[in-house]
Amino acid sequence: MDKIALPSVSATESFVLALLRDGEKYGLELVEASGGRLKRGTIYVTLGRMERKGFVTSRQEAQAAGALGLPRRLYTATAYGLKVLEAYQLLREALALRPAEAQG
Amino acid sequence: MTGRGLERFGRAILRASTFETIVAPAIADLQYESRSGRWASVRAYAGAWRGLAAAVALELGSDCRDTLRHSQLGAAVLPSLLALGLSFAIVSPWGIWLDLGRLRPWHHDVVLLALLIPGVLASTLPLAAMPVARVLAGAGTPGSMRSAVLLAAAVVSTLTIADWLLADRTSDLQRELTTASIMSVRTSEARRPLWELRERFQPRFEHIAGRADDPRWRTARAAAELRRSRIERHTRAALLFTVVAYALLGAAGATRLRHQAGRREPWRSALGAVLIFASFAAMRVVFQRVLYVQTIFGPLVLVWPPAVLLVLVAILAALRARRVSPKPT
Repeated sequence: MDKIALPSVSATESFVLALLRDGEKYGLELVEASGGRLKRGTIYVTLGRMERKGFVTSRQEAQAAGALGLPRRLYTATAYGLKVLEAYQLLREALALRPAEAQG
Repeated sequence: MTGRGLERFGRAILRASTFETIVAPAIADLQYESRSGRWASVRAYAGAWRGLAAAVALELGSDCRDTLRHSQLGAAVLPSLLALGLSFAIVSPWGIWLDLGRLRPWHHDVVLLALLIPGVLASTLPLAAMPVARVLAGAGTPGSMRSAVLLAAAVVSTLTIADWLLADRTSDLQRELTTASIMSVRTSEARRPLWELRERFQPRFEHIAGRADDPRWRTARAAAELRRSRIERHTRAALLFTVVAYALLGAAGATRLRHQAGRREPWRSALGAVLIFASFAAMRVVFQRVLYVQTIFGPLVLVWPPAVLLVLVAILAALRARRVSPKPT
């Protein structure tokens, strides 16, 4: 049987994907929408890792001519990322124990 | 402009890709939020600095992993690590044996410290030298020199702080040792557990401890104990200096390895690592013996010249390896 490389997705990554399902967002918007679950210091480490895995894409915002400072970055979930999220949620639901099942 | 210093610092120490992915968006957020008031600005600053710290940690981790994965350098580094472990495993009991000969059996705290310090050095010194050796051998990725230097600096700073804390925590014990030397505690008394001896002699320790610090009351034995502890402190610091020698000799070995790949080369590299520490110890002993005759006891003279000599030899070896090795085709 051929080996299939399954993508690994952490709980934080699936949470970020769920937030990005609604559309393009800034990193800071993700932190604010997370209710304290995502931190400012590490959000871009997570997003960078997700970008390498192909779960999200990013682009720099358009800046007005002569604008000072660095451009902010906008993140979008890719179709692949959303597919992984869906599969992850299905798997979690399938494996979750109901109280009756847990009692045996 | 807010965050300009942080941006310059980040660009200087990180690879461009890491900076653009992790730190630049955090600085952009900082610049955006700085218009919303002081509190938001402070939070954004904290977030940007945490982002920078996370990016540095990521780069250092990947540099260390790359070093071990790099086939030729990995072949040189892994046996070297083994050799360093072995060197320290041999040196530690030797040091304890020497200490036991000089100290009383109840000084178990000292024996524990003698075990701990070489253990810490053994595990961290090669870690500091690995990325530097790799970059000097010309196998580093862009920006890895900055990461390598940062890692080495972080390890050396941590060791220095740990060493200082250790010295601070054991200063009472050192004083008691000096005082016990002055008091010439009888062997039968000295064989008792340290806590029992402390309880019994505490008032006298305190009384004499004050005199031990006073040069007028200092006996020859006390002076010798103090001198010995000072020399040991300097030796530990000089051992940190040998990181440079290890890195340079590692670079020399790796440069040759690229062109003379053979089964024996990694083991020669391991032998080289053992030789570094053995030569440092031997040179130190020779310096002490020679200078003792001249009645020179200053740690700066006794301890540091061997370390400096070792680094000079390592620099020469690294330069020669670069000159002798043919350019890769």
